[in-house]
Amino acid sequence: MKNVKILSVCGSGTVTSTMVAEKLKEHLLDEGYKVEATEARPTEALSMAQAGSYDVIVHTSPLPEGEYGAPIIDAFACMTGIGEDQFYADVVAVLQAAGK
Amino acid sequence: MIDGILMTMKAIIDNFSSAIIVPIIIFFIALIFRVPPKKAFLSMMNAAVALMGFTLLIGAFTPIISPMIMSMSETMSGITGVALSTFDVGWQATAVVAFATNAGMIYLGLGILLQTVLFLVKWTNIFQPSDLWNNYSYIVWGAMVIYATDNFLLGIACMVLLNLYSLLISELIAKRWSAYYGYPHCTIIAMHNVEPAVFAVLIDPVLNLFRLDKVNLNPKAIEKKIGVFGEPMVIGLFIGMLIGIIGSIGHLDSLKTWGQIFYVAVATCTIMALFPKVAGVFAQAFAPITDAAKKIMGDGKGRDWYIAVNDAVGYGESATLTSGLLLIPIMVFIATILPGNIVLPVVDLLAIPYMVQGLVSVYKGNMAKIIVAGAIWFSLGLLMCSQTASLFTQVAVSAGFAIPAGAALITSFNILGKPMLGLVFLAFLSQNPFYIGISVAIYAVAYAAFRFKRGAIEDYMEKMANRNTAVAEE
Repeated sequence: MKNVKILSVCGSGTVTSTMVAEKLKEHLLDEGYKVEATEARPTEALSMAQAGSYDVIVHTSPLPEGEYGAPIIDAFACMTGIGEDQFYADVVAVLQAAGK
Repeated sequence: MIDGILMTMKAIIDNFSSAIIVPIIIFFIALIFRVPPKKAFLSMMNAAVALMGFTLLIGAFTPIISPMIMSMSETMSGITGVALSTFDVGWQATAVVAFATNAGMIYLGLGILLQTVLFLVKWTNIFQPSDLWNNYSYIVWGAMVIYATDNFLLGIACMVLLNLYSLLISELIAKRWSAYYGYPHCTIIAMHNVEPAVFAVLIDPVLNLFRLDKVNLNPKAIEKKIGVFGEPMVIGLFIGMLIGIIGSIGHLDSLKTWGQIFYVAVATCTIMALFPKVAGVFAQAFAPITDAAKKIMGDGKGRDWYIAVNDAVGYGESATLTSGLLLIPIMVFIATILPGNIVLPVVDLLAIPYMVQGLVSVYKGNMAKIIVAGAIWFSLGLLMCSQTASLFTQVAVSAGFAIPAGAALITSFNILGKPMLGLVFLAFLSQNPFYIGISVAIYAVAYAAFRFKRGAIEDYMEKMANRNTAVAEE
């Protein structure tokens, strides 16, 4: 089991980001990853990303521009259910590419 | 036999608090949607923890903030004549209050059923069960009708009609929202955040008379300047200090007073930071049911249809966030001088970037228009909050939230500040068949007009949106 840190961003760092984080935890567990997720709002995402060394950042709300220091993946598929499997595959691919 | 069942149910509801009953109902709804029992059980626990969490937080916070609010209110009424005796606890707490009422328990199930059927029979092109969470927006009003009139069916009818209204408004802006925010086949459904769009469309010609369509504000540049002042805790600190200082204006020379002022300020920061966390726990209870409900949707082939998504997806967009943040000080200022207002917006100040999304999509990101139209409509919203604050506070108390007697009233600037759909609620509250009839008739006419003139209406909105030279879309 490998530990990964994920930053999940939505409008108020509450409802949607938590849902996305929970889904990722569940799906990545099947892939052999133990996810530690942090929820954030768009305005605090950049400073948290720079301070926190995350493996991947997922977001359902647009992010401000900046150097996040981690791959960023659009988690919008989790809200409609369309293309959701592709989203999980993308996250896994990014983690593997980073040697995780 | 049926009497016996009803008596038993009533006895259960009377003896168990909502933090126990609501989770159990969520557990059974999850099972009905074939959520695995383990997940259903976790949903139940999340709901229970969040409900209890809010009860504990509100119970602890109210005694701290109440005396200061009352004292501030007295001071202010001496200066501007506007007494702000009502604290805005925000949408998170309001959602929890709503789901904890009888109306909430019923609409959890009924809402999914109604929304699914409306989509399947093509009454609407919007698949709503994918945003289950926002059903509290109808429930709040229904719960107040039931509490005040003791008429269960009337409350349910009110929720259904509000649901129909919000579906219609969502459909009206679906094309624009989807295009502006760049999410194909998606729109927002939350009634409290689509309602301003109707006003946006109606007032647009007037705003153009003032040449606002030619004003071009750059959201990105302004966003950078706002910086740390847009953070919830910082806003909490400012508002808390404001309440504290005005509340103790006569004795600012003592150290004891400043101790109290900072105590209130830190408590307000804490609420700003912790409410969203508790709401996050509550949201986890809904995730498995929402997922299961999406499976009903099918592939929607051969239809021009939209999936309802949570408005979180639009929050961080530049024009949305920036105009939302700029409206924060504007709304606080207006609240202190608006005659008839008794509400100090606090927690929901952070919700303004949700509230403007209807305006943003109609005006294609023209910030000058968003701010002007927003300030007008949200001010009317404050008056609707003021009108309903006392009733809502009673509903919260009856749902098991410990708000001490004689304390300040509570409201939600975002959820209850609905000038137009609040009128529908007032019609039901009056129990007057004539007013109720009018609110139904207006819906029927609007629905028919939209069904028959859809193309023309959408073309008009597109044309008006494109008049704005301030284009934030990249």
